[in-house]
Amino acid sequence: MEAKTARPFVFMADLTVTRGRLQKKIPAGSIFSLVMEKGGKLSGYLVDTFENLLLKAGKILFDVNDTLVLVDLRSGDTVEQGITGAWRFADQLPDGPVTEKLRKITTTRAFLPVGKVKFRLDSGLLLDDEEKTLARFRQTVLKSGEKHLTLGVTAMLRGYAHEHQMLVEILQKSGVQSCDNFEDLYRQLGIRDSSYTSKPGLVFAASSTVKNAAVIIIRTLLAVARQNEAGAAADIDSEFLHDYRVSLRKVRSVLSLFKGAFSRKETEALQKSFAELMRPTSRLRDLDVYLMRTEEYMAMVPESAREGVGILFSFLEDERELALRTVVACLRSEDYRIQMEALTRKFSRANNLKNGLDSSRRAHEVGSSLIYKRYRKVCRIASEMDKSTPSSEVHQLRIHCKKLRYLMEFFAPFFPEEAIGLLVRNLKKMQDNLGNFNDYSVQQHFLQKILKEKMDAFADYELTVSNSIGALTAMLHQKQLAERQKVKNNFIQFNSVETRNLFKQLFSSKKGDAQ
Amino acid sequence: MKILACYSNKGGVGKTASSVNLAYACAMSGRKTLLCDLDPQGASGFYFRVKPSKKLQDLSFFKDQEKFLDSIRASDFENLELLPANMSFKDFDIFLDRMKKSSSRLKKALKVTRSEYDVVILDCPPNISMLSENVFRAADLIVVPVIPTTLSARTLEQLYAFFKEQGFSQKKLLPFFSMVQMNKKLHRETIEALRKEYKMLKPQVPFSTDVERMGVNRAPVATFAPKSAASDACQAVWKELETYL
Repeated sequence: MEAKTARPFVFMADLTVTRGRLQKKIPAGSIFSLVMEKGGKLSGYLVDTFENLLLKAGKILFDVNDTLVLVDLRSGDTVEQGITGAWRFADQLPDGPVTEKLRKITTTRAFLPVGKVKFRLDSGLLLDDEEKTLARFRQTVLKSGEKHLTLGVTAMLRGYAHEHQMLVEILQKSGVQSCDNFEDLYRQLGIRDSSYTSKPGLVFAASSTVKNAAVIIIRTLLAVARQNEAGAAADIDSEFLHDYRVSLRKVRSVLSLFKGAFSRKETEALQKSFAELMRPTSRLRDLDVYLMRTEEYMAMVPESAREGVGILFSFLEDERELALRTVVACLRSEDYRIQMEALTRKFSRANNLKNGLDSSRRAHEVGSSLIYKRYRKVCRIASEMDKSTPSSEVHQLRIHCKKLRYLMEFFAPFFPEEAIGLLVRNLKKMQDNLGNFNDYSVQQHFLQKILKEKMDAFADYELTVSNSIGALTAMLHQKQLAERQKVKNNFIQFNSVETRNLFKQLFSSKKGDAQ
Repeated sequence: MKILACYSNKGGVGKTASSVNLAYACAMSGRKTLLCDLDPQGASGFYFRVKPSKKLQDLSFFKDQEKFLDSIRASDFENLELLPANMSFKDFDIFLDRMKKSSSRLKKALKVTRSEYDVVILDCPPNISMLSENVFRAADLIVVPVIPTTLSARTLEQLYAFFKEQGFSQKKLLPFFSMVQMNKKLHRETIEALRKEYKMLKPQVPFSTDVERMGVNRAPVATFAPKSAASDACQAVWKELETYL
């Protein structure tokens, strides 16, 4: 009883909760009363990322002229910070309580206005006949056009569990609802339609065929890619292009992994189309990956090499400008629009695609078999690895892991969520490790390419830059070796008896304990 | 966790007002604070508008950890909680007398608060008894409000003598002048004499209607008269006490 009532009651109401409304719900003749302190009326913008990362974390951020106000809807805690000038990223803000919390949410995604709102921050107390505070609550009252919303949370005070429960009941009787997620908030306020996610849940019928499943997955992925086009073209943040490319890469994986879902000719043509779609964006993404790590690279090299690294990065920024122009021209071109619309149309109905040999096989069965085979392949390659294994094989292992991960994501709706979640988490650790190994290797090649092909861009600084590239390459090589050392250990964890058994249990046609 | 007792063997010297104001200052310094009211009159609870504890009857203060913790109440201020007293606390000496190791029962009872609080402040009733012996044993510091009068000087002397006699560390005792009226010759002379004899805290809390108004406002003086001389003096006493924590 105590534990239940001790939890804060998080609530929402599509009306303004006032003292008068609450007071009416207190039984006549009781010793209790309510006081409320209304905050000043403010007008500003609600701000969030494209993916509504703040709302997903239960927070709302107001930008009011020169002040940011961040409210944690689950605790009622509010922090404020003055700002000067425009900002989009948490790292562009001066240090402060809001900045600190925003940095924890994301440093890569841009914060953008979602919509204009009027709001105020109120607080309320439940008192007894001696005016002792027995329970508290805080609420944010939002108004957008004709729509009103109150979002609030109570706080229990030690020793007053029953009184807290009473406050909860008063609130409930006055029309507020318990609320555990706020993801629909912007839509309720009529200021943002959809809640974008880069990983939308897939829904299949249990009897879905391979072809149907492939069509649904690709249709969903295409929609994700399309939702990122505008942000990528406007260069709001680098994640738009990243999510765009990841979606298209996954489409290509579906085409190669679900062999036989469509006719061979159809599959080949689609592979070609999607590869072509991705090509113009590769250079920009490579540069983004590099530029995102500016600070990390600066810290990696000795002081003497920093000037050269600085010059190198300003060169890369110029290169990025050029690469961005290519991407913008492509995404805004008529040819691109026609091609994307044609693909979207094609995947709107399964009948638009020609059948392959496996089209009518059940997706569940094919998915299980693909996952189990890929898992065993990963284990075989990983178990044979030692210090002398060439890097190319480590790369192969990375690719197999990635395909395994995609397969598990695609077929996740067919299997118990908890088990899949556990296996994906286990796999992710190894993937992160292999991903870092690959990144360090790609970055070394990238630097070598600059050294071979682009040095005349640096004129008088050629020597300074080439020395810095040398220093950076040496450090990246060290880091790559360190990641390499971790692969074995991560694999041992991934290859535990429990993981093997779970894979076998979920995906193998021959059930039973793995050996 | 440190245990700080506010004690005097003389009544009416401002013990409860000091306990309340020091507990508030302690909480405002960011320390998680419990004000434990040992006085059956329950004046500390009254100042914070907390009603007497009903559950913590008879022996349960010393014997029932769950009831002890359940009886703690939040104050209206951050970091500050209270264990309100009730009339059964007047029989503490009788209960203690019946128990084994009767002079260390309070220390044992307070152990349960160790993980939760940085400082526990004890508001003690004014007598030398089994309970006060428990207080002397349990407390790390004993703050003694002293009105600079002849009678108070005598009781302070008695307290030091008792400590010596019983083998308690006199270093724990931190007396300070309370309800001071510097316009009175007697106060000035007593202060001078006692400062020569004892190590008194430097700040002096003046006699103030603001402190008296605590009973009307039912809150620490710093909350309703933050710029008053009394509030400043309480803060100064706290600042010096902090150096002993």
